[in-house]
Amino acid sequence: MIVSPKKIIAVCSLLFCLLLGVILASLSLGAAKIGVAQVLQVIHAVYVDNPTGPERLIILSVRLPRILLAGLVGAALAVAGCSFQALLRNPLADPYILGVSSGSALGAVSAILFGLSATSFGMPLASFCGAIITVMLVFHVGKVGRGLHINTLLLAGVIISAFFSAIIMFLISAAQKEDLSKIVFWLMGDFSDSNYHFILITLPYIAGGMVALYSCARGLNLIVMGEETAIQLGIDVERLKKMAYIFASLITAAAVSVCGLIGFVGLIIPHSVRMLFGPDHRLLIPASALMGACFLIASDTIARTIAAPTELPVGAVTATFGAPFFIYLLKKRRV
Amino acid sequence: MALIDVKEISFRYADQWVIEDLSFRVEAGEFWGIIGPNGSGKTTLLKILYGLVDPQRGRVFIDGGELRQIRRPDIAKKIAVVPQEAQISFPFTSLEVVLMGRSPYLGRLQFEGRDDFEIAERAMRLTDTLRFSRRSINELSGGERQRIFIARALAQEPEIILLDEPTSNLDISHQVEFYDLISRLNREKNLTILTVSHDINLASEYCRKIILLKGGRIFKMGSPGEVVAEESIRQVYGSRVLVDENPVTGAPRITLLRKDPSNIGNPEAQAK
Repeated sequence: MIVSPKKIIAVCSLLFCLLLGVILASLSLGAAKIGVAQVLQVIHAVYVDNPTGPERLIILSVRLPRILLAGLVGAALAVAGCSFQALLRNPLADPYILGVSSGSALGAVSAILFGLSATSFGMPLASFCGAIITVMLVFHVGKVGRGLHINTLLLAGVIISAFFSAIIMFLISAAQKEDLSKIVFWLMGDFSDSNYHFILITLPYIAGGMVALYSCARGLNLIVMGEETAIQLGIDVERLKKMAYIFASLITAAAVSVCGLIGFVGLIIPHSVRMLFGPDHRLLIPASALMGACFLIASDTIARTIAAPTELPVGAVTATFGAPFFIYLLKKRRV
Repeated sequence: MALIDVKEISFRYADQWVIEDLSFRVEAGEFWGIIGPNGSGKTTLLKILYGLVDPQRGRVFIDGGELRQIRRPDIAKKIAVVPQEAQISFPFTSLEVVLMGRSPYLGRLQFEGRDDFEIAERAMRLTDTLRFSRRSINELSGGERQRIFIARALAQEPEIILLDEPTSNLDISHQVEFYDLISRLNREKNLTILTVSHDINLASEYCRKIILLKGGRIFKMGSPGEVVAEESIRQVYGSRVLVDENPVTGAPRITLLRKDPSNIGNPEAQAK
């Protein structure tokens, strides 16, 4: 399957229709039963007049921001996953593999314990800062001379993750009961606090990061063939590695900061898209973004409806689907 | 003007010099072999020739331009490299891999055009790989995969092809097939070839000039007849060999001799 602009547009239009379908379905599902027709009516009414009523409130102020945020995060994690898999030349890598998750978790847990979670931006900010500090730390440890050394980077990520996890364990053991459930929900990922502000503050990072990564798409194809091969084919590999690492980490940090650690999206989405549409990143990146959005919106819809009125952490849902799929991939992997 | 002009280069990793004061010139259309024992600097020399590493002393000129001042994509338009072996865990098809050879000619967001497809197809026809253009590179045999890498190199439309022990994982039939192909490209396309080889017989059979390296220096350089001699091989490799002629082509041929000849003709000792 050779990628051409035509094919990219065709595949992405198809996936975009799928995404719209998933969004509509998700808008109509929930504790309050609202039919798809009624959902469409409310959306249409926004353009005509300014209607009020409980449906409007539920759809526009409760469900829609949550759905959009889940879509944005799903897209971000999937694209970050594509980039990390190419950078590490390992189709089973995920966005958390270099320690971004542990840094943001440390930030978020600290915020909860020090009472910053009372303000709505305390946790995202603390988590984002924790992630960025980790990214810089891992980058510095992983740098050999002027270049990034991939194996050193990987080891640095693992060690710094382990260190931060230890600190998190200390903090958790000293935590109060009411803080503990918050921490657990954050560590498993949770969209129940979603609002439009979260979308607006993360969108620039995520959109900018995605554009930057997409501009590296052909280089990512080549780096998968080996760093020396990429250089032989005229690519500035050191620049490419830094771009991929920094922007993939940035969009992961932004995504995680507003919803906590949601696993498996960044692992199984790029992998499944590769199985469906081939490994060319010029198609893989946009298709993964759309599929990631669909998958996470669907997972979050399940998380908030299946045990209603109780909500599950969305990470529990993605892991329920993701873990068996991952094992299936491992078993059928041919290398 | 020589196509490749290497002037007094020296290169070291940390404090160990692996290439010392090395000079040679390669004219367009020549077929060179680089031989020498493990650690003699063969692969490092190749890496210097395409600019992967920069020698601390001396200079390399390609087509009159100094290598370190040529931009990477421009180097890739002149020099293609065929690797020894590649582990790829992503399922690119053969055609996709060959099209990657067009990379130096494409802009950051540019897609392959009709010309690029035609060039890739021609490269695959020359290497007889068109049949499996839709198959994943991971599914191919070692010999087929090496031919795909030659096709990718040809898609770069280079003047020079460097090969790093390209046949070390192939059986004898595929080794000969591979070098026959390279040799044909050298003659018909006037491509300049430099190949690093562990197999002295293959090198002396196909190459017209041979560099014998010892400890990062050129021990001997010249035609196979001049370089592949019992005394030189003994001094460089420390092993005793017998050199005679290939009865068909007349190229020098080495026969390995045991280091411990005492048990020759004693099957019981051999069985132990």
